[in-house]
Amino acid sequence: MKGDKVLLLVGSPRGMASTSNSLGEHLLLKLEENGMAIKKLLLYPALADEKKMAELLAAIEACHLLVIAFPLYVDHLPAPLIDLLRQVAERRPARQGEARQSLAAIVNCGFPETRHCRPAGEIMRLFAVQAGFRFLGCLALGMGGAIGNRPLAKAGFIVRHQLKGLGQAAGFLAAGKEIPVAVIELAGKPMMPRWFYNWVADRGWKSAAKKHGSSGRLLDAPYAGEQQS
Amino acid sequence: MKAVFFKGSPPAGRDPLSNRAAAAVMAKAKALDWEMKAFPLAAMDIQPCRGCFSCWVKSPGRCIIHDDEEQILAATAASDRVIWLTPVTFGGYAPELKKALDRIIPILLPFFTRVRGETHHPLRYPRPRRLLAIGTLRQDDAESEGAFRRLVGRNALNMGDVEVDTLVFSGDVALAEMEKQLADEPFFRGVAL
Repeated sequence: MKGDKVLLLVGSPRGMASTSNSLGEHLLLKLEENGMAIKKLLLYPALADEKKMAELLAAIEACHLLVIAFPLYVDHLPAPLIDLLRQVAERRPARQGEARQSLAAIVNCGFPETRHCRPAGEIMRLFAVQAGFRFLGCLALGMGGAIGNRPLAKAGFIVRHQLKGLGQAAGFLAAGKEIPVAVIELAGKPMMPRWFYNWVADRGWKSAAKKHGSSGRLLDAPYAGEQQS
Repeated sequence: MKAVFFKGSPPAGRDPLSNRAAAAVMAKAKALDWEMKAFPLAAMDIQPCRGCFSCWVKSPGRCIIHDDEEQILAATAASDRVIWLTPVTFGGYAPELKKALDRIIPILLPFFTRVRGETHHPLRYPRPRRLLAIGTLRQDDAESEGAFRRLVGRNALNMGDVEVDTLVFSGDVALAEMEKQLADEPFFRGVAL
């Protein structure tokens, strides 16, 4: 709704230099275009800073729409984000009646297939139910590595579906409506053929290893000795 | 049999059910004379993963954060059996277990491979492992339990498509009942590797 407050929480350890930030930031700008009052906070700087954590928890309580953008870690949310959600849920015991706040999420993973993100979307929905948020949906993307930390609008033709999907999602979120499945599917479309993404990714690991002088050690097994003992 | 136990019970007193489940697992492993390394994760110094991928490209196989996770990586690389224990949290894992799992990626290789039609990472230490994931719930919650089981299934696929058993204890289950249920698990039946 116009004038409603939206908080974007970036749940990536890479903070501003993350794909989560690129995706979340683009959605946030689109929400602002739809008349919402925007605010963005990063989770990780608050982990060892009580003041920042208190500010973050207060901002979560004060917003109308909470958007959480995060990377997929081992099929799930990163541990510090789960910890935060647990704290939020504990502060909101047994909320009754219709939820006054809404929640949406954006998850991205480095695999080419978006379906790796499904468990994380389910977990976000269960968090919303248990903490008394109205769940408006989870946008999920594979091939996150293709975006890197670039502003989404500058990532070129490959993100055309994502730009369109996030733009449409913003319209629904700003109206307080659930993101339709068709929009979630649009945002989750592959950015390029899977074989090409995988080929580029493999070359990327080799190139990064070369930069660090570890080209010949990529297959190293430093704990192999433990297997013999 | 070498086993590694990710004991993800929250700090003392917060979840008696998972503490009981931990005791049942320890008793079972002892009865079978397994060589088990148990890690009480809540009490360990395990920093959050930084998402830097140094463990893949800078110091392959080793995390650049030097803390208690190193012991877990070494034990996991050598394990035949892996046990995860956690209170089911929003249908997933509690942060005590998850902080250790987030840092487990050095046991994988960066490259992609195809498993059951999907892209995954190959194992750095290929070995026929078996995984047992145990979740605890304060009360029956079919939705959370279903999500937990699906998540464990996905993890098993991502960890080399390992054989997996999932067990969820809910309500006020006594230690003896837990031990009985564990005894029935294929995981503890000495399945040939």
